[in-house]
Amino acid sequence: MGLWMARMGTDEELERKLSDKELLARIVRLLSPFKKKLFLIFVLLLAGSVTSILGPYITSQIIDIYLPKADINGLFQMVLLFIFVSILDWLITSYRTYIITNLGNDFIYNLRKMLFNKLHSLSMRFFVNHQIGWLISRVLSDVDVVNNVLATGLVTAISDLVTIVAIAAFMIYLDYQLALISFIILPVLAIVTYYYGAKAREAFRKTRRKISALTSNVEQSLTGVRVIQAFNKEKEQINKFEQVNKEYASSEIEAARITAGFMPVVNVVQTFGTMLVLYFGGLKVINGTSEIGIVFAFVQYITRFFFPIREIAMLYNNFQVAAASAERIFAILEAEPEIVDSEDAIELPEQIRGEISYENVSFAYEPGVYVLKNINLTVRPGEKLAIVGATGAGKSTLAALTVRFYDPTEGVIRLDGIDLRKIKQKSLRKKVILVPQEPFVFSGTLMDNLKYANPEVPDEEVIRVCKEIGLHNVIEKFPNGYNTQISEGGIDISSGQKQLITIARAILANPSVVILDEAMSSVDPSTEEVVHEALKKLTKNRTTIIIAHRLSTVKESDRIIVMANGQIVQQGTHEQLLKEEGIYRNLWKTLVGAEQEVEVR
Amino acid sequence: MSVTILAMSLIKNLSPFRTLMKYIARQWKLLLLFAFMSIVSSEASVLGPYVIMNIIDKGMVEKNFNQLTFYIVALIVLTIVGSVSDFIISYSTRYFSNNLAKDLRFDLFRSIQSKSFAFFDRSRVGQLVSRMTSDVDEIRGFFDFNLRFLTSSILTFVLALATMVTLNIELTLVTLASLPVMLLVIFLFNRKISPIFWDIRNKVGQLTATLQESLSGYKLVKAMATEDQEINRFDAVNRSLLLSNYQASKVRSIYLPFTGLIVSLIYALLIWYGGLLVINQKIMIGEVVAFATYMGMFVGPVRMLGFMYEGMKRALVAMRRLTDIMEANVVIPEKPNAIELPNLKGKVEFRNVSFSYKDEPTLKDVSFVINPGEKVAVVGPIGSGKTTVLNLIPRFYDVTSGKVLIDDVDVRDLKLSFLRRVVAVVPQETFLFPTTIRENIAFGKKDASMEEIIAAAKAAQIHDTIEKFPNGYETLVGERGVTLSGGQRQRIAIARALLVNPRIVLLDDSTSSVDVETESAIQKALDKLLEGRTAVIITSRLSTVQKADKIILMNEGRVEAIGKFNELYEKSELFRSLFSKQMEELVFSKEVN
Repeated sequence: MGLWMARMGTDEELERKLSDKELLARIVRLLSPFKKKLFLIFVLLLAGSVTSILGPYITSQIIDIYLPKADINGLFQMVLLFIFVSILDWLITSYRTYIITNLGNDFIYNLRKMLFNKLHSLSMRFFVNHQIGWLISRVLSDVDVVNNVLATGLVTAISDLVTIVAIAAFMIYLDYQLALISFIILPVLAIVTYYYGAKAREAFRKTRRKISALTSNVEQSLTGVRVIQAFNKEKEQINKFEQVNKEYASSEIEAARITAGFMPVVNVVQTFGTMLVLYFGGLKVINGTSEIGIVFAFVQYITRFFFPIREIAMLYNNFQVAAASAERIFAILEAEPEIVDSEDAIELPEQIRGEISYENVSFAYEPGVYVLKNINLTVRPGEKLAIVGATGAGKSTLAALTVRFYDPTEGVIRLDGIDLRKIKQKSLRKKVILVPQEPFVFSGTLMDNLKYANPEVPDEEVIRVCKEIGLHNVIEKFPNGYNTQISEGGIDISSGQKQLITIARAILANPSVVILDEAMSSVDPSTEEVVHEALKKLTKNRTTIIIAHRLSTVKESDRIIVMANGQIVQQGTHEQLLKEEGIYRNLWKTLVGAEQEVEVR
Repeated sequence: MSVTILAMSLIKNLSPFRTLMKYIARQWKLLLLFAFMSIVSSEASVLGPYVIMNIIDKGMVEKNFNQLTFYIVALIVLTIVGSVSDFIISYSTRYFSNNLAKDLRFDLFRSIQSKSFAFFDRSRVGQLVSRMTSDVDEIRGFFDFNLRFLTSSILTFVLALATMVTLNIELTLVTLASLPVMLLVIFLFNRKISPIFWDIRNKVGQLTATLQESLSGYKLVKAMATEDQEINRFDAVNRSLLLSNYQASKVRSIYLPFTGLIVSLIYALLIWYGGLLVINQKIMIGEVVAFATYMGMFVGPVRMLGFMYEGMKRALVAMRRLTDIMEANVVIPEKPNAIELPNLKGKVEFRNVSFSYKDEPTLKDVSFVINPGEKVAVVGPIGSGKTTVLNLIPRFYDVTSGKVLIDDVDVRDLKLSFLRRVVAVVPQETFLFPTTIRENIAFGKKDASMEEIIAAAKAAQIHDTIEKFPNGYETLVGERGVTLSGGQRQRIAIARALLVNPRIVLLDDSTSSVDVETESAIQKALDKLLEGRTAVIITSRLSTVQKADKIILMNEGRVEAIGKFNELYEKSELFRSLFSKQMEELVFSKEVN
């Protein structure tokens, strides 16, 4: 089984950035809170080595001294001594196992906590650059692998080494000639392990590639199953799957062919060692230069020797995989959040006016590629501002900058005259809430979700808001009303309903400024009207910025901003803009044009 | 004890067990080889201590050099035979288990592909994927390791016992004394540890779910500044997992070394009793040593018993989950005498159709006729059953009562492949496969020529957009390629539908929200798509509704009214409420112009 872990991990193990030394230094730092436990483990280890050496030695004494002398009392005493040593050994082993496994448990707990906290402190860009699934595997499986191989693994390996050295020393003390003969197999074992390890790693790398091909094939054809069935393509999908399925199975069988040989060969080597001891020991017994008991003790020591060696070999074989895991973990732990609160950052007061001003704001995700160019705009307290423009005009970026998901490349954004960079992020985001296009519900009840940002809000208030935006009737139809679970496997809610929940949640958080970034894209037009009417009431004294595609929904805003290519090209009320030559008017013409055609027909 | 429990659970879970047997039987030759090699290997390992006994007694005690050499050579031969058979055993079981896993996965995949939409409504992709990967792996792991180990344990036990009995009855009894104690300890250990293990599994599941949720919702977490809340939530689950892990390691570190202690105690008994026998010159010292080794052979497997049992239980649970899927009867059955309609006109009729997804009926007694070539708009508030109407036509679901007819033939009498070839669906949310744009358009017609594909793309008003991408039609879609906007995706779906040249087009356009520029492009694409075909369109677009030959107004699962735009606008309050706003705008903008 010694090779199993090589199954995990990815090809990233091939391109590591940190050296083994740097990596181990970091692991040691992670282990440093456990100094006391580590010391205790070491003490128990030494004690355990002694007891495990004593057992076979007592047996050898019985065989060589008490049996030939027919000393029944002596035999009995030695057996009692053996029992005593065994109990001692049991206690020590139990305690040591307990401490080591708990060390592992603590290590895993701590590391997961550190990772999770770190992830939530990182800025937007980090999440845009990393897939969620990838991050989850870091926190789950990589932490396990690092613990198994590098943390408790390392501690176990050191214990194993101590045991080996102790046993070897005692063997030399008993009979150095026999001892040296026993040690012959060590290099052989090392070579065998190394050889198989290298081959197995290669084979397992292949199985990993094949299994991920298989998984993505399955994922794809299951996600797209409705299209597949609609177009009658099941057979084709099944054939495709059969291909990857076969390839994966043969890669596993290939790996099996290699690893199946490992244990038998190790057994041969081990038996070869036993045989050497028996043969040369036998010769010595015949010559009268050694005793049967000693030879017997050696046979036992050799078996005790092997277990730790196999263990170390396993760690060695899995080191590369684990190192890659560790490196990915450290990459996260050492990532710098792009946006940090400056030292003199302030908390916003309870009441703010909600004025936002953009002064010469430009922004580029990648150097030189400007998504926003020289934006100058002041949103007055309580104003209802709408932003329209084609996909890619920079609307969402402007929204993201307003809650400081990113900092402007040039220029300043101010809230009530204060530079956003001088406000604590949390304080800012309690007052200025962005509702993104992708709605998200957390597992729990509907009520939990609605109260997510503001758990103190009373139920009546939640119900009032839901009534206003037309969500109440929908919720009432669910089996348990507001207490319906909407976790996985719970009831189905459409993405439009999720968007409504997300909006209600934002309003219940009681912000001073609300930004809706296409937050109703999956809501049908008649419902959207209802929500808009409601928003007018609900956001009466709040500054509101709405980004929308449907022109009908922006029409009644206090002011409409038209963006194109990262710039503001027009602004004014609906009526004003319609009278102006420009994008807005053209947009309306297209919209209306389509309908006029109908009239003509 | 454990055996009875196992037997009982086997009976309880008979169906998965029987299915599994079918898969096992397919490779009986390999199993036979495995069984034979297991006997060879066990015999070799049982003979080992016997040979060593002779090395000690005949070689060392009697100081006979020839005997020593003879038995050493015998040991070498034994080892080689044993190792070769071990290799064959290990390789054959893994060959066996991987093939079995392959067959299972394949059948599972095929079975899933044949399920109706009702099945996919209630299953999540991630869950199905894990059925196909981790559950199958659980079963494979059982045959990989547990089966091999179980077989060799039983064989070794029997063979060792036989050898011991022939050697010395008294010492055999002393050695066997360890067994009941061991079994008891193992039993107690398992009773203690299995609830903890289940608990841990559960908590790992919770941890994963929390993690997944919290990270997937990062944007909202950031937007609402609820990081601390998330951190606390995660810490609670993380900590509760830690506590369960503490419990597990406590139980483990008490019981597992304890079995080691029992071995040592029986060993002491053996040395003492055997020593007395040696002193009385009844046996020789090598025999005692051999018995000590045999005891080790016994005990190892017994120690693993609990582990084996867990493995077997898990494999059966996994198998049950797989058979649940395979046997789930949510398929759309095709009659053996199902027909095709060579000269299809494209008439669609609902006759007293009712349908329920679960208990609540979604459609109640819906009847309407759509004549060949008609363009029909289906409108109504959310949840009025519009999408369900669409889904029943290509039999994504079957009606609960009533009939859906195409050219006056019940769709259930038509060949499924025929039905879905003549009916094309453009769904509300377009799913694109992460391949090239070309392959996505040609999805329904793999042998389509490039000219055909381009023609379809042009008709769908997406050709120019595609041409602008760096690799044109060969551009990858999705994570590794371009991200397409909703409008672009929809037009690709239209091109995809156009390419298969269907008689009947079903279009779900209910929530499309695209910027106005794309709006007119889509409009043109739709006109092309619908030309000369029967079309059923769910829409909230005023222009589409006004153009329709007929409008079906749905409300709460019933047909509220059928008619032309002006009729309905006059007649129906509900209809007016759906479109009044858009009408006002229209009037307003005309004034401006």
